[in-house]
Amino acid sequence: MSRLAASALFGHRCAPHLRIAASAHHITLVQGRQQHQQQQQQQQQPVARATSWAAKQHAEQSAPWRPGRHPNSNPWSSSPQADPDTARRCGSCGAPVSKVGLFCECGRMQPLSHSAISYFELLDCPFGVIIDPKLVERRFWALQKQLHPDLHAVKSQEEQAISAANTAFVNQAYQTLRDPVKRVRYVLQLMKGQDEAEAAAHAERSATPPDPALLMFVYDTRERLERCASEQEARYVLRDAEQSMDAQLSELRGEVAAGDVAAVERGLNRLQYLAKIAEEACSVEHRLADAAAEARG
Amino acid sequence: MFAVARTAVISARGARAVALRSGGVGAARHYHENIVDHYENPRNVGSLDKKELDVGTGLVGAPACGDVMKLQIRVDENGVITETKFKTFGCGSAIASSSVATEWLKGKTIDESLSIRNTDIAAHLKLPPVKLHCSMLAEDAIKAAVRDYKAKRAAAGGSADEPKAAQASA
Repeated sequence: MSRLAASALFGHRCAPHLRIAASAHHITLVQGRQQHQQQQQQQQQPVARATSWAAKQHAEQSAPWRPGRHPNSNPWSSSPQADPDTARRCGSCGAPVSKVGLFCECGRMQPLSHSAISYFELLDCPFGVIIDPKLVERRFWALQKQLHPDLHAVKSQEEQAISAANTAFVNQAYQTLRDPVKRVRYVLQLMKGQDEAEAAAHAERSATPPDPALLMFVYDTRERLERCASEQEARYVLRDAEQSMDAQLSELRGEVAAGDVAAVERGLNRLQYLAKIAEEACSVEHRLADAAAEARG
Repeated sequence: MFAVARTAVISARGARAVALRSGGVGAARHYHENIVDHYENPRNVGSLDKKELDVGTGLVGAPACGDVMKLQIRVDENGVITETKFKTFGCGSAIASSSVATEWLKGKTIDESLSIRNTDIAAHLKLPPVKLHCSMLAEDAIKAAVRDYKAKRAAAGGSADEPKAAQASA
């Protein structure tokens, strides 16, 4: 992949990451002293508003975000909090902890599990195939600021392990929700009440009958991409594919609301082909741009 | 889980690079030389005129990876496949699978062609488990091409294989 493509894909993620590294020390200091921390930050808040970046940091810390504000966000599963018999107990103090709680009141981090909480609940994002990517990204970083293993390096091995597992879980949730294809696959998985392994096995060989018109369209578009001579041409294909994906997602939103599993499967099929076209168009565009730059010297 | 998924996504170009880099060292990820051969020198790439009466066209896709494969056969009056062409937009394993399929199809009757199994293709190319669906795609493409050819002949009224089918059922 060209340098351009790589920077387009990953460039936007560099800044927040560095920001986290820079503020890690500060967060480590306040972590684990939550009650005291909250009082302190409430006092600090007016001062912190002086700069927008600092204000954002403190606003997030003064109201530590807890997942599970939308316990019914997945209409196909019962609310995880509904069953008190299986409520967790804190491994440290033994106090009952809600299934979606990140921390016990004693300050100890609690393990998260796929069966107890959906990615939508975890990232506090309304259930559906269309999401607000900025909101999800913000929630992701807010969670990582509480969970990341670097912040728990001085704690017990058990707590470090919980932190590592939770971080991986949150990463997976973020990777799933920010990608339209993975997101729709996940929504379908929840609609069908499947676990991850079942869904993967099913995706391997889709039961949806092939759509000849769709295949013809995909084949022709891929051929058109192959013949592209200019960056501009590839960009047109990319734009068309992205518009088609948006239209497909809007259609899927209605089908998910109606609970029509077969229609969602067909829509996911089309979305996957469109996403592949967009991916190819993007790489062709960058390849042609690189070639043009090289030709110019 | 993720490592497996990523292996599946290794692109055609990636497959070649991995094979070249790990050549002879016995590294874990190593594509068989048969795949590399068919990927680097694919046989029978191209198109036949799908409107011609003696041509059968199979167009299939794998929704999970978004790949598409077109496989075409030209059948003579004895029902023997004389010419094959394919064009695959997909990974190295999909390209190699369809290339092998077009090689094996030549000289077979259309009925014999249906005996080509994806497991044979996968075994010949030593496809890793995550790439088995690429060989299934090739088998599906053969079936679709034969179906298309038969439908065309039936629509045109009478064909080399129609009487045979009638005898078999009688």
